Amino acid sequence: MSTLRTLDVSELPDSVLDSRSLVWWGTIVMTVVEGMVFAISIGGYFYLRMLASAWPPPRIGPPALGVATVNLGILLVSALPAWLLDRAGRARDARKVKILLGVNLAFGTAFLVLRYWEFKALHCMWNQSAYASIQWTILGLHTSNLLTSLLETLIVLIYALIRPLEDHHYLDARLDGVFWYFIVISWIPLYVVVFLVPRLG
Amino acid sequence: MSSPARTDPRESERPTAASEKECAELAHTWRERTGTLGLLFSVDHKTIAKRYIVTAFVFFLLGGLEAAAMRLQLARPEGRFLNPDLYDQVFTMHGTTMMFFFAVPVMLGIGLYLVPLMVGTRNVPFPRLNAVGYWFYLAGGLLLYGTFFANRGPDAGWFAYVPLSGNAYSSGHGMDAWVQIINFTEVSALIVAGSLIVTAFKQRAPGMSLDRIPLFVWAILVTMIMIVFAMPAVIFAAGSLNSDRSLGTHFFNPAEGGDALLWQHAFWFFGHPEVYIIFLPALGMVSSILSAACRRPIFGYTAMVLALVATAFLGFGLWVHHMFAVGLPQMGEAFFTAASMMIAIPTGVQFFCWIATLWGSRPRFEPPLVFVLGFFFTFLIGGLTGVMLASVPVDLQVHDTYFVVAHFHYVLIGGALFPLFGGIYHWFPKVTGRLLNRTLGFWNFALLFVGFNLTFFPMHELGFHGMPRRIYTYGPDKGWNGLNLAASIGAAILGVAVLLFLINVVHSLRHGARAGDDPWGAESLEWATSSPPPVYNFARIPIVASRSPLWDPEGLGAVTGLPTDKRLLLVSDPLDAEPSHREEVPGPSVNPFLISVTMSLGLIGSVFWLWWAVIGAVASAPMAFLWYWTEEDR
Repeated sequence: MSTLRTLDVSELPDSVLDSRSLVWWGTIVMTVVEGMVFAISIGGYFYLRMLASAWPPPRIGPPALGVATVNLGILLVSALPAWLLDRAGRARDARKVKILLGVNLAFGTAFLVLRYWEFKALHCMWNQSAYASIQWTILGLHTSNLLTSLLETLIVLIYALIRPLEDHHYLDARLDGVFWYFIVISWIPLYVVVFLVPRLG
Repeated sequence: MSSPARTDPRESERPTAASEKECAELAHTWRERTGTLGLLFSVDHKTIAKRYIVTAFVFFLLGGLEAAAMRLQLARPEGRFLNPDLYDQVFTMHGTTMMFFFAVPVMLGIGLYLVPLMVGTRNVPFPRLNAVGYWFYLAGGLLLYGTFFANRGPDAGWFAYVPLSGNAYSSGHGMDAWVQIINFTEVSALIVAGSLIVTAFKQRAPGMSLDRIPLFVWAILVTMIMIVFAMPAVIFAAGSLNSDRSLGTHFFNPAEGGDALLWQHAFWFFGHPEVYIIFLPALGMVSSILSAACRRPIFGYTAMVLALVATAFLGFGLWVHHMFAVGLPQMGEAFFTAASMMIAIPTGVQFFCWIATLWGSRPRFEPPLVFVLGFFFTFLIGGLTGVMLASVPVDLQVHDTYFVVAHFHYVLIGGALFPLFGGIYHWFPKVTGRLLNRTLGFWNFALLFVGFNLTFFPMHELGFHGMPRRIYTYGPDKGWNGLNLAASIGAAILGVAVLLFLINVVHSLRHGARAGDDPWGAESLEWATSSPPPVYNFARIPIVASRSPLWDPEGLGAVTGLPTDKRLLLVSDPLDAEPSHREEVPGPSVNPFLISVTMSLGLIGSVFWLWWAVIGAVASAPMAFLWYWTEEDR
């Protein structure tokens, strides 16, 4: 045995609030999984569309665009408070984090409420045809991600209102924002698939 | 090498050793709960991993008993041991058990045990989530065998083709349960994948840059990334089948615009990579065993890594070769034939690298190596029949015959089970501190090898003679009698081999020779700590300077200044493993168990009444809240 190399890590920080952290990586892996579920569903959608003589079936007709487009607008706007939340978390600003978690929750809830009419705008129930089934599935999958994100926001918010925040809570607030970006970004292609592609005939 | 049981001379001067006081403090900080109830709190990766491995072997025995029942039934023409209905359940249970409850989880378990040790860290990044993975796996297994013992087991084959698996032909709850069982295993695999991907990228010891990761860790990393991309397909498939069965959707109903082949595409887009998810970790084990046995690094490290990555990529482009008989466009068939044959290239590269490693070395003949040699032989046959089956005309001739059964057992048993047994002989001393018995090990191998080949080689011939898969019996005039009897005798020998293995494990746990830290003189970091490793893995996080750190003439370095009073992990840069910060991970908690119970109740309940899924989700919300609330409680 010759010289033993050592490395002193006593000066390294005990937490970081950015993409170096383990939880950040975990969140990214989760969004990749969810993104892949969406991708496979879109694959299933176009597979069924390829086989169909008419898409949608004439007795169902294309979905209405009104509510869905308004809702898309709400979701796009909601990326702004998510971004502000992300920044407030990084700055360890407890007051802003609490306010913006609340704002995020409000946006998410508004989007969720309008989602009800988005389902209605499909003009079909899931059990009417394969077209209806895949439409409901894609909308439902996105809604389940939405519910998960809302629950996460709610939990972090209640915690923040009651207990003092530590570094990893700020990181959680940031990641809440990051997951919301995923909800927003994934909805853009899904909106096209669910609401626009059926209008191509 | 003299007696492998001697104490390693490095032990006293181990650079990663720390003072007794430090070790005691680490042991206190990282301690697990004691007592029976404490079992529900475990978060140590080694504990969870051992549970995966032991549970997987229980399922292996159950799956083996099902195989034995089938061989008993088919030993003679017009057998009466199983009735047709039970036979359908038994082969479905055998496939489902072996794929979803043995092969994948045992690989997950071994990866979960070894990867943190091999990269030199103290635990996985999300220990509580990791515990959920195991509970889900267990719940899925209990559901599977619950339905089977109630004689309502799934009976549409492990790949559950529609329309057979649809309501019209499988009306009972068996298939509903099967779908949820698949969901349980998906979740558990995804959780382990997330844990190990982050471990391998972010928690490596200083100095372990990407090009110094042990090949086993590479194999696991690539496998986990495959899980991330493959599992979503079966989530989609199982979800669609579930909703077709219980909500009246029409994904697979041609009358309403659905299509039965959509199931096959979605299932095999997952199912083919699944084979590689089982097989790639086994390749990693082969590399670890060979380099230890030959006492030299594996030849062609870069080529080996690229071969693993290439196999993973190609593995996603093969799924249609399971569907050659359904009538596809010729262009598509040609593409998937080419892709299927191409996979032989990276596999061949690895074979040649292993041979080059063996070449001119004087390998130590211990049981692990012998299993690897058995792997070379059997897997080669499986690989060659794979190339045959990739050709559409051949595939059409032998599709759904025993030739295919022979092929995939050569691939899975030859390609995964032989290395797995080798791996168990190799790492058992690390996990338990004791060596498995050598003589029994050789007998174990010999009987496994003979029994396996006697069981499955005749099946190639049976396939050529037209014996279809999944028939519960056959007439005496078919000309299949002799070969079937041979296969059944082989299965009995296989059973004895497995029995010997069990005896060896049970005996060696108490009476095996003491192993010491590094009985094989191997090179990777798991051998740098005691056997079994302490709960905190390493008293000091090691620093490595090469691909074979324990063979490094300079020896290991050690990290200092990592506080021992908190559960801190050293987090590093994904490329060159430069430490960036320290991160605290949560300790023992009952929350993972509680949320697994509420979610499992939802999934299992939904087999019988759909609203249970909602009840389960609603009941889990407060559990999630509780989890977050108590994350501080270390």
